[in-house]
Amino acid sequence: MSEYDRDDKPATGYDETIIDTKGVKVNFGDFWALKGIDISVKKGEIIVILGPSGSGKSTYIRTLNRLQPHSGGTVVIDGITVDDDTTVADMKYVRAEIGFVFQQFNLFPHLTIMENITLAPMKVKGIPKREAEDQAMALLEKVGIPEQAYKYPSGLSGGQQQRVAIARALAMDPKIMLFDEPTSALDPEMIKEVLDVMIDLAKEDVTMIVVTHEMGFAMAVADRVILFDEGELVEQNTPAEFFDNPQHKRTKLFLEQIL
Amino acid sequence: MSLKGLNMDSFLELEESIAGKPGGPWVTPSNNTQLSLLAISLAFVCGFFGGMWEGFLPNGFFELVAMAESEGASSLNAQIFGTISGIVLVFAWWVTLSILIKWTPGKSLSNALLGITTAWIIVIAVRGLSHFVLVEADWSVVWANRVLLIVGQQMTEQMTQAPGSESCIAVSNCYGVNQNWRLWWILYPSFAVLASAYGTIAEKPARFLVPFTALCGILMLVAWMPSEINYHSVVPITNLSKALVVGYLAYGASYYYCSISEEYKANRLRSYIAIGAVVTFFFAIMIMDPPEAVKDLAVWLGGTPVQGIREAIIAGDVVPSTLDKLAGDGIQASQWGGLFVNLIVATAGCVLGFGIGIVLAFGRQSDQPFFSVPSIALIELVRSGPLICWLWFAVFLMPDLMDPFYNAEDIIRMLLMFGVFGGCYIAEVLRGGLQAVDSGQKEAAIALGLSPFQTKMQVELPNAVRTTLPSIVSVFIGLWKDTTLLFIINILDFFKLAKDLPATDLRFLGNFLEPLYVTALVFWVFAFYLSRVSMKIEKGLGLTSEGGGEAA
Repeated sequence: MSEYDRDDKPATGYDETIIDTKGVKVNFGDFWALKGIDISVKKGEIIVILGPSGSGKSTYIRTLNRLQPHSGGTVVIDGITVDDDTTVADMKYVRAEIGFVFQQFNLFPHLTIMENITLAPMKVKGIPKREAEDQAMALLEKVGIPEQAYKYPSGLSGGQQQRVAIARALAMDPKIMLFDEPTSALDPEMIKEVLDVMIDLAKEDVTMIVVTHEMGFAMAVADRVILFDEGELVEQNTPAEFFDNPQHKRTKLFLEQIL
Repeated sequence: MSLKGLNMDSFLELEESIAGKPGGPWVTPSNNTQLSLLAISLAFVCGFFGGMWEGFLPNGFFELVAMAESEGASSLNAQIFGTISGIVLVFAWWVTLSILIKWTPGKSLSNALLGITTAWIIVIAVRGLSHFVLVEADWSVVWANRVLLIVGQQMTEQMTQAPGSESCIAVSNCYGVNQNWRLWWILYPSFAVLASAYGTIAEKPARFLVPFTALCGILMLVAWMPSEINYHSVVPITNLSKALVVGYLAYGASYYYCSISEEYKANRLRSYIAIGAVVTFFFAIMIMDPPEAVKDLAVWLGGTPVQGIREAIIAGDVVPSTLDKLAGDGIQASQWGGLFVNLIVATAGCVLGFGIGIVLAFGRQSDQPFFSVPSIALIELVRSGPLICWLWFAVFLMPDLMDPFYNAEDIIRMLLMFGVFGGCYIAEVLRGGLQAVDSGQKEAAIALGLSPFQTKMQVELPNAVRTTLPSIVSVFIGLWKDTTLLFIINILDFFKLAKDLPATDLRFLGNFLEPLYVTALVFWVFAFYLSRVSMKIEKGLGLTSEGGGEAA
């Protein structure tokens, strides 16, 4: 059924909780984008969040590194509670822990690919330039575009830009990777090259939360699939159960529309 | 034959576009060309011989030349005046006669009226201007004071009264030690910065080398022009040649480097050149009036201050070394003058203004009242007053503010005032650019763990500067023109000196227009150049657009 192979996924013992959110709420004025979300993620777990547009799935992962401050509930990342009272040092630690990949890539247009990747390690972690560049080159090889290192983002295709964005996030050596619809802004023929990189990544010991519409990806690599609708968590289950035997009416409806 | 026919066709097309479509019933396709030739021949007759028979028709070439000579113009000037006026006259007559002979108003009245009006307006403008430039005006007032206009009173005196200068042949009359080497030391790095900046633009070398060589050539001609000369032209011409070579070398080096390197290396070179420009500015201020530390260093290295060995230098016994010159006293800012003052003040407006503008733009955006309130107050206060008021402020009130810390001279305070004034305008331009930075850029920086300050400096600012650079250059153009306001507070800038030139010699009394025209021309040339630069930047930004992927 799936075009992706998940046989060689490491059988990690998931015991340590790395992300713990309880009753997370977010409002934009009177509109409640999230109405209380409880999700806890164990180290190394791979979560795929599905849901229609406006269901709050992007808002949710943005609360994890506080790109979006939440208005209720608690967010705990690797033992650190993220809220208004989080110290600057803790916040810096959390953001260094979390790699974030955007739908629109958001590469810095005035920097080369190499500079895009080395900026944060050099400025935030204080890694020497040479070392940062070696690491960046290794990451570029990992995502398959070492030859583009000294070009500017405007010279790359969308798929290549997104792969650079992934490498940029990985350069901080994060424990958690968040993907906010990483393939939605791409032409169909470029989606696969980005998904392949993400699948390779999934085989490693990194915790991933992926907001996406790519069902194939969800079936192939997810440990858990979660459905959001109207700011609420509708259903969460293993991909096999989720797709073959959905419990909720809303899930069935969603899958009918998608598949 | 066919080639001739083609030329005639394009000629007829030109004629039609200016004079309009033939409307007379007597014009047929077969005689159209003949009628055109008739019109142009008659135009030549009118343009050359007009005015010869009892003032019949406006004066043509021969009458104009005779008239100019009777007004006291030299024969050469009269000929040039006649030729320039003759050319536009023939053009106007050709348009007029074509319209009449082919009766184009019958078909396209508006086109004919427009053509005839424009043609004669051009005649009036060109004839009037060339008459003033070549016949009426006596440019000796400008030639006699060209050094004064460029470097101001004190440096002119030192230059023209230094041994070897024209008005100081007898050594006993000489009393000055030439200090103009300081200006050349500023010119060389300036040319190097300018030329190397052009080298980073991937354009045909001729597009820089030809205008650059022409510029240096014109400067050399101005320096060489023997009329009313009061110095030895060998020195400035030699130094200009050196500056030309410096420019060539800098251009060649940066052009070669950029042609063998990737784009990012060229961009890096560009930012080094920008830093070089800022360094040159501070170097210029330093070298004009070196601080004690620099002079002491030169003495320590073995220099003897030139003021101490003035007699020996004037007598020709000693040729001062570079160290001797450096050890000597510089030119106090109060003694600066001429075009140099305009240039240094405008540059201060750009360099200091850019720095101040960045601080204010970020300050204004800050959430902290500690930063935002003073920024907003300063921007709104300075922007709401005219520059003249602020110059008066710098003259009378600023000393009270600064005295406890630093006793600055008038011109230095002007530099600071222009910096603040320019800074407030640049701050507002930059603020617009900062607000327009895609929020995704900030989020990406934050998500990577960059601090707010790092996000501003590494991501927001470069993005904002890229998009607002053309507007910033137009602020610079405004600052450049505003430097003429310095005359209000009696700083001897180019405009003030030019205004007062007729008073330099009884011979020149009444010749007040010529210097003002020269001032206008000089300022126009600089401003026009800057606006071309701005257009080029805009084009460059369009070429390396923000990347389709980002916008998608």
